[in-house]
Amino acid sequence: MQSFWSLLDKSHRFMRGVASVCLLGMALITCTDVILRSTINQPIFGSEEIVSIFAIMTIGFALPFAHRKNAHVGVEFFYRLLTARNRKRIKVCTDLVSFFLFLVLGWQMFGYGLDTQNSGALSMNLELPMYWFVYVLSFCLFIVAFCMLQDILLFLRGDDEKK
Amino acid sequence: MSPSTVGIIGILIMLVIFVTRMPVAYVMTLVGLGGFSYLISLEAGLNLLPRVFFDTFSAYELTTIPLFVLMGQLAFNSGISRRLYNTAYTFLGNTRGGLAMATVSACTAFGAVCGSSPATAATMATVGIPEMKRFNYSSELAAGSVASGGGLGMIMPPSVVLIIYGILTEQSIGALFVSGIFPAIMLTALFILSIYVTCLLNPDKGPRGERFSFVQRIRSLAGLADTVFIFAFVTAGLFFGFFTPTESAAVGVLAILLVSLLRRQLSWKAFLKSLNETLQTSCMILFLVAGAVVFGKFLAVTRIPFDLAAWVGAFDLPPFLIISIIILIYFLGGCFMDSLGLIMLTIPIFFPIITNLGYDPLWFGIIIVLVTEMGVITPPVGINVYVVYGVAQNMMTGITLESVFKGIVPFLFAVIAGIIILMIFPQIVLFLPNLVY
Repeated sequence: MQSFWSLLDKSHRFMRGVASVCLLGMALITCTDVILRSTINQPIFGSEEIVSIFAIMTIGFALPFAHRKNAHVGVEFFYRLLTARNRKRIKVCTDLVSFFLFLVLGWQMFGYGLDTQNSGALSMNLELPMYWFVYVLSFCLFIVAFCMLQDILLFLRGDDEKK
Repeated sequence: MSPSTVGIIGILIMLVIFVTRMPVAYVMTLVGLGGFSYLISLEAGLNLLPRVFFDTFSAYELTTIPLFVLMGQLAFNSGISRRLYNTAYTFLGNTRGGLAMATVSACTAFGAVCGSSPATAATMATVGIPEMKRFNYSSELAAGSVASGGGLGMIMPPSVVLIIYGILTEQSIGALFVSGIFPAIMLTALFILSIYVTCLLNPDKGPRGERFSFVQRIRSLAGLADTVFIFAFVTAGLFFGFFTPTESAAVGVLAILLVSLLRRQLSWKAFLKSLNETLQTSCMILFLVAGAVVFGKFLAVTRIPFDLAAWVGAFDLPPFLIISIIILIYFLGGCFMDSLGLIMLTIPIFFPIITNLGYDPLWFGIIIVLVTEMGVITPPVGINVYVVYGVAQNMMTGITLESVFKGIVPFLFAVIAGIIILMIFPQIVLFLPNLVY
C-alpha cells in the first residue's frame, strides 16, 4: 500500500510538470499564431483547437496539485468557529463526499470517453480524436479521488499531521 | 413538489453545506447534480456532469483565464511593482499621507497588468509598508491603504472577475474591460481623497515624506514605461479588435516575460513559482465555473431565476430600490464568501432581473465588481486584510488585525461613494464602451 501512495505522490508531481508545460504551450501557440497572422498573414491552422487541448491538459493535470495545495475556496467563517475536534470530524465527512464526487466524475468521464470513441467524433479542423483527451481528464479525476482517499486514510490512522 | 420548491430546498441545502467549508465548486456541483437528477432523471444528471466539465475545461474563451492569471503572476514575481511604487512616490511622497496615496496609485497601475486583488495587495504590502513604516505612518493607514488599494486590481482591466462575469452573462470581455477604466480611476481619486481627509483630521497618521526635484520626478517616469507599454499593447489590441481576449492575454504573458528577462528581474525560482500559482488559481476558477454551470442547469430547470424576475417585476418598486436591495445582498454575501464564488452563484439568479429592469449589463458588471471589492476588505472574510496583515506583521511592530480592519473604514466610505456616483451617473461606466464599440 505504501508503494501505491508514494507512486501517487510521484505521479501528481509529474502531472504538475506536464500541466506547466501545457500552460506555456497555450501562451506559445497563441503568440506564434498572432505573430504569423499579423506578419505574413499565415495563422496556425487549428490553433484554437490546439490551445483548447492544452487547456484540458493544463487543468486536468493540475487538479491533484490544486487539491494538495487546498486551492479551492470554501466559506471559512463558520468553520473557524468550531472546535478543532469538530473541524476534523467535519473535514473527514466532506473529504468522503468529495472523494465520491470525484469518483463519480471520473467514472462518468470515462463513460463519456467511450461514447465519444464509439461515435467516431473528431475535432472540427485538425480532425483529432477527442476521446483521448476525455480519457486523460478521466484519469486525472481518478488521481484526485485517490489523493482524497489517501487524506481520509491518513486521518483515520491519525497520521494527517505528519503529511 | 413543484420545481421552484425543489430549487429553494436545493439553495438552502447548499447554504448549509457551505458551513462545512467544503469547496464552493464541489458544493455547487453536488447540489446541481442532485437537484437536476431529482427533477429530470438520475441518468440525465450523470450524463450532464462529464459534458459540462469537459466543455468548460476545453472552452477556448475560458483559456483567457489561465493566461491572464499567468501574466499577473509574472508581474507579481518580477519586481514591476517596485518601479511603479517608486514613480508614484517621487510625485506624491512629499504631501501629507503621500506614501499611502502613492501606494493606492501604484495599486491601480499594477492592476493594469495583474487581475488579482490579493496578489496586488500582497505585492504592494511588501513594497509600500516598509516605506510607510520608515516615515512613521500609523499602522492603520499603512495597512488600510494597501488592503483597499489591492481591490482596485479587480476593476482595472484585465480583471478575472470581469472575465467571469462576461462569460456568464455573454457580454463582450473587451467592452467590460473598457468599462472598468474610468471607474478604476475615479475610485483611485476617491481613495486619495479619503487619505487626504484622514491626514487632514489626524496629521500624525501620515507625515510628509522626502521631497524630489522636478528632474527626479521626470526621470522616475521611466519606471512606468514597461507597464504602460504592456497595458497599452494588451488592452489597445483587445479594444480595437486586433486580438481576442485569449490572444491579448498570451501577448501580455510574452511581453511581461520579455520585459522581465531584459531587466533580469525574473529568476528561475520566481518563474516556477508563477507557474505553480497560476496552476492552482486556474484550477480553482475553472472548477468553480464548471460547478456554477452544473448548478445553473439545475436552476434553469427549476425556473427560479425567471420566476424571481417576474415576481420582482410584479411589485411596483422603483428600479433604483430593487438594484439597491441586490447590491445589499451582494455586500452581505461578500462578507462571507469569495467574490468569484458569490458572482457565479448569484449572477444566474439576479441577471434576468437586471435586464428586465432595463439596466445596462456592462454597468451592472462594474457595480458588482465594486460591491464585491468591499467584500475583500470587510470582516469577517476580507481576504485582502488577512493577506496584508500576514505580510505586515513581519514588518511593522504592534500591528493587529483589528487595526487593519479599522484602517479600511475611510476606504469603505470611498467605495460606497463610488457606487452611489456610478448609480447616479452610469455614463462614467458606459462612455468608453459606447465610444469604442
